[in-house]
Amino acid sequence: MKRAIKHITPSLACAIAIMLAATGCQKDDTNFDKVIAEYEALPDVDIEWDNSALTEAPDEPVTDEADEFFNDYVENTDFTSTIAIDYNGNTATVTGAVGGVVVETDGAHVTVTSAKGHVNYILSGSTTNGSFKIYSFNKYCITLSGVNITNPAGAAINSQSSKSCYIVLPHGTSSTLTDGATYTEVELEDQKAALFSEGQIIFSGSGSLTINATGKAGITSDDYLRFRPGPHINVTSTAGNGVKGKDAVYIDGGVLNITVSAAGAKGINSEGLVNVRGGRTTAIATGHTRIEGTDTTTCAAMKVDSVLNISGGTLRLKATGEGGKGINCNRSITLSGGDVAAVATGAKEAGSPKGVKCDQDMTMTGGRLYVYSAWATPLDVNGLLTVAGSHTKYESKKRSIDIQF
Amino acid sequence: MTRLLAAMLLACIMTLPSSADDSGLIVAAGVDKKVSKKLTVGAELEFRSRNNWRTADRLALSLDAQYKLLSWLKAGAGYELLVDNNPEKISYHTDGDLNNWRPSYWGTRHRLNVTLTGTYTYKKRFSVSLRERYQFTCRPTHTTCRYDFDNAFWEDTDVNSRCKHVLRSRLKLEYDPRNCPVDPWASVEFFNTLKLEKTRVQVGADYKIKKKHTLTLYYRYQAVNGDEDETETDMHMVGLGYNFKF
Repeated sequence: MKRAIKHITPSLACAIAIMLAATGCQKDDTNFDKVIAEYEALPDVDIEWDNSALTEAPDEPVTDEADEFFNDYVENTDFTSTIAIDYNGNTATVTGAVGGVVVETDGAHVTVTSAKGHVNYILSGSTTNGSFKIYSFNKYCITLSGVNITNPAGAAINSQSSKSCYIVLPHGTSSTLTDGATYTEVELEDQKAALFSEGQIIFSGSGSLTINATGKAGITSDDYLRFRPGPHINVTSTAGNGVKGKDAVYIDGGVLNITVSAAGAKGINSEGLVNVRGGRTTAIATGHTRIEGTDTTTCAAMKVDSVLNISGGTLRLKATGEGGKGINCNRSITLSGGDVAAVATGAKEAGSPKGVKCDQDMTMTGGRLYVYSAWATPLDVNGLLTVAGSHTKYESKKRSIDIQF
Repeated sequence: MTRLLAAMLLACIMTLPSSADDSGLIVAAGVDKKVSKKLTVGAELEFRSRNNWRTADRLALSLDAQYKLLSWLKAGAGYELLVDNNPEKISYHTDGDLNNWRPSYWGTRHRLNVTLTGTYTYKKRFSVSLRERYQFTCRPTHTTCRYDFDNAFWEDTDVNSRCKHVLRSRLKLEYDPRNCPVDPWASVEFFNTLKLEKTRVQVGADYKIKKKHTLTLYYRYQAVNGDEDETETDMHMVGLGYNFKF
């Protein structure tokens, strides 16, 4: 027996050595590497202002007079009268006289009262204490011919006319409009932005325009806004929305870059509909949720109170503030074309950040939609989400959804 | 007997991986010094593994003393430093989404115990002993890290200090065969707090290589009766021990 055990002892020793060598070397934790990578994934789409030139098909004006938007094309109106206003420091020189049009100047502050239609106001030069204000009973055109206007006490351009305002940016020109941090208000008059109009504003041309808003919004129309193909417009607002068309915003083309930083501010805002069919639009909202009493208002790169239709163009929408949304739409969204990326990278506290928040139905039949939220549901559709079966990609991750046709 | 030992070891090893419970290895080396006729002091270093032997579970260093009160009754006391590889902890939200993940971490515990052992020997071959041990274990506060899935970042988290009182009752049967250096034994032990927390069944044998050197091989099954702050599971274990007595 003892002999046998003596034989088994070395074997046991070897067994112990092998067991010790083989045991205890591994971790038994769950491998969460992939899960954590998904939770920490950054947006696939990098959204920053894109100031590169955009090649787009020429905009063909509507020629049918019965078309409801026939009037939106500056080419369809013959502006037979011209008044040139050249800003130079604290003065403005007015050239051209048109019957029925009164032009008053107070330093570089120019006020036009017009009872005549078809007048084209050509603005040029530069002022750090000036403005252009118009009262008109008829539609009119403002050509920004390399003008640089800063109004420390209000809007740079203020139209109190409810008629169409055609803003034309001639090829090769760069204009800048800057408002003041505080506005001197006029009783019974609105001035809601650095570039404000009671009527619709239609942008055309192929020049560039920079809006620096420090007191209120960048561009606001109490009617609607239309961006036609061609212009390159950069809007920065530290106090209000970027661009707002009360009844609607139509983006047909052009380059539109917007950054807003105020709490609760919207890059693109409409109390009505927003229709995007072309161009390259980048809107970035960096503000946090605005809290007033029990009311909270989150920021959004695009806020639509009615319906949002996207049939073309490139939309890059990003909200970086707490609770911010890429797109916040109170009604339905239809996406039939275009390349849309809506990203929310802000934290979730008072507000819930979403790539897209749609309160009613959302239907997608074409284009691409990429949505991302760092801290909440990237795509939040309260109604019915319909994605046509012909899509080529439907990738749903923890933080993002990518749908492509 | 040799065949029996080999078969036992083989059976243990072969059956463990197929078990639904976890399995592990215990390796221990100890030394005992007989200070006087009645007093013995000792020390032991122990290593344990889990996760089917693949993961280190515990390192322990223990010091103890035993005093023979009567021919059949011994009293003892000891201290144990436990260095534990605490398993990961995952928590979920009510909707099933991940909440937090605390990976495994190494932490220490301190344990004091007092023991009373009564032994009855029948014809110098069979003995039955009952050991009652009260142990008091304290875990100091430990700061480790966890992943917060809601906010997608790592954060420090404190594992709070905790102390625990346990009464362990062990009944052991031993057989000392004539002209054989291998002494088989079996035991059952109950861990009681305010409830039965753990039951441990062991079958093994001691092999006296020489008078001072003893090897021990045993199989242990322990059934755990849940404790929300503990992460122990039911386990099959193989134990290997060496003791030097002088």
